[in-house]
Amino acid sequence: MAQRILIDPVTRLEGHAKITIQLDDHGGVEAAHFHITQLRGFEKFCEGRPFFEMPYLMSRICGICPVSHLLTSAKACDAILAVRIPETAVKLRRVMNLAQVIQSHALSFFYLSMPDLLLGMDAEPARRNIFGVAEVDASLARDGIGLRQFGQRIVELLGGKRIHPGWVVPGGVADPLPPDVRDRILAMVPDALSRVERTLEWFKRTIEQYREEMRTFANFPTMFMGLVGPDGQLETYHGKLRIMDQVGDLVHDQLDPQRYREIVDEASEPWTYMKFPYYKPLGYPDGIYRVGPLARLNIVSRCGTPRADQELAEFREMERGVILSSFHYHHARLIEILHGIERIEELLNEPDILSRDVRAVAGPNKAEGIGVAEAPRGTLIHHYRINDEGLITWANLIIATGHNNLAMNRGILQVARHYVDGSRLSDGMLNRVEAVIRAFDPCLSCSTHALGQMPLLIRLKAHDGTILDERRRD
Amino acid sequence: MRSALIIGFGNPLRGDDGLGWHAAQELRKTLTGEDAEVIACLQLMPELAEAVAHSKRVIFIDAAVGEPAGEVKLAELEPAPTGLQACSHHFDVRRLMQYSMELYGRFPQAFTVSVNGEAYGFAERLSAPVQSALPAVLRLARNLAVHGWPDMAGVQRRDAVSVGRGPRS
Repeated sequence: MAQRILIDPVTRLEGHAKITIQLDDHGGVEAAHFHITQLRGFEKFCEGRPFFEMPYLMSRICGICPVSHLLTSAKACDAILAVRIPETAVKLRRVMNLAQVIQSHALSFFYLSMPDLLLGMDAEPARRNIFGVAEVDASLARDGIGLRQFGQRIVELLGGKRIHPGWVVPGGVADPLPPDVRDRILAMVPDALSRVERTLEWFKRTIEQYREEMRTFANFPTMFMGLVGPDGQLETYHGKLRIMDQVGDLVHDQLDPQRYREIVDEASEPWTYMKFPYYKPLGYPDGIYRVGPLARLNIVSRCGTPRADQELAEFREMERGVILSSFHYHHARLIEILHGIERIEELLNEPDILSRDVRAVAGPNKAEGIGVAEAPRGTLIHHYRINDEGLITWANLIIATGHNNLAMNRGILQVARHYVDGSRLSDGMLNRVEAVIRAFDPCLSCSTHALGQMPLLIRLKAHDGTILDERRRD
Repeated sequence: MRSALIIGFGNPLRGDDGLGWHAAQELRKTLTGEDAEVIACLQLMPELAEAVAHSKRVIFIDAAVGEPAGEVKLAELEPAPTGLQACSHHFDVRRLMQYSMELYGRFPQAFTVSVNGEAYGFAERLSAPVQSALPAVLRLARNLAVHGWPDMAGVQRRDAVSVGRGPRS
């Protein structure tokens, strides 16, 4: 008798989602789906707006990664202006982007996934939260707070506020960096470095107990995509696209991101509002690939900063080739935090960082613009067309989380097949199905945090609708 | 350690929900850093626990659901029983104070100043009764920051007490 398990909503994610697991007649897992149950609509309702409003409008897509949308949108507008923005403005935008990557990764690692990693996947659900973490290891929790504040404070110092900042504008940034702000940020660096290094040491000691999760958490061959610098180093702002296959061979390298449509297309499914980007030459759904911290660390030749490169070398020793298990997104996130702090320090010590030449001014010179950058969760693409009056006529946004949609769906299928017993549900099983999604750190709400308590209800139903088993988390 | 911390929170795009945010913006204009640090935010987040722990006194300003609209209420917070659970998407005043206690071992003197709201739809302005109450909120927050609980004979500090309303329009 075929049955269906429903997890609704999935907890400790940014946004709202549910998971369904379809069982076959013998209680085995037949299929699993990750459903996004909210609609953004930004691509449509920005039509008719002046293009220069777009960066600030687009930053409202997300309360976690507004800087990514602000920057990527500004880059698309730079392309419409057809200007080369001043080098100091590029550096300042980089600083803000890295600060956001740090705060977003800290949120994901310490607030959302740390309860699983510190307390265990099978811990009592009532304790699997930040209070449970504080009770077991307050020092670790304080390091998380410190790292998140480090990133948020930099965003605030540069952009005026922590969430939905301004300052980044088409053509550059609105104001130069004041010397005292540079000095305040630099003064925070040593403390942030020591916090992330302590956390990395803790994590490397801890992951041994998650061997089974490493083996089963979205651990399968896919391609990986991201931006890289000219010699393949980690890049979060400019760069060219690199796609690597599951054995480490380069499928594309130094591909101009303006040509993204040659390699990426999007499919839709009737059961979710999130599209499914795929690698065009292989078609849908065979063109599965992953983006984000794990993908970036797989594809790069090096991070480009000394301490992060040391950690990258150690990270790569875990496997003989490409690291395929999505459990390692957590580890990759910590290495990227370390890299971000080091890189911010380097950028702020550049001799021209206080230059007052931070903005190129022009009117629209092109009818179309594409902006691509690396958001915390992966490659983010904004693509606009305007009319003669400079009003947006068409917009296409490929959000970083979307690239991972195929992999997330296949991941919950893998975890469900490994852990789910079709006759009885357990909290540990339920939590692992959610935890594989948390490893990807999807950002679903896209505009703000979801508010309120998030109850969880899992039902095991017979094909006639009879409830066979039920677990509720209020 | 700072002497006082004022946290005004709420969404300024949702009418009276933005009361705390608006109040914090006003207080920033008149309070010096020596009197109090003022934070305006959309919602409470766990990382505020550090700022709370490093303050002698904390004043939270927020809108409240209740009647009559525009009524200003004051209460002192006490440590909650242990075992509070947290949702990472929503952090209230009690949880923030408790989190400060668990992470940093400090539960400073803390007050909530709240105002009964009337309208929470999409609007960047406060409703008339809440707008009228704003000066009283600012006076109260300033006094709390500098002097602590006001001298009100017979009033139980743990209870939320009404401390007046703005002038009727």
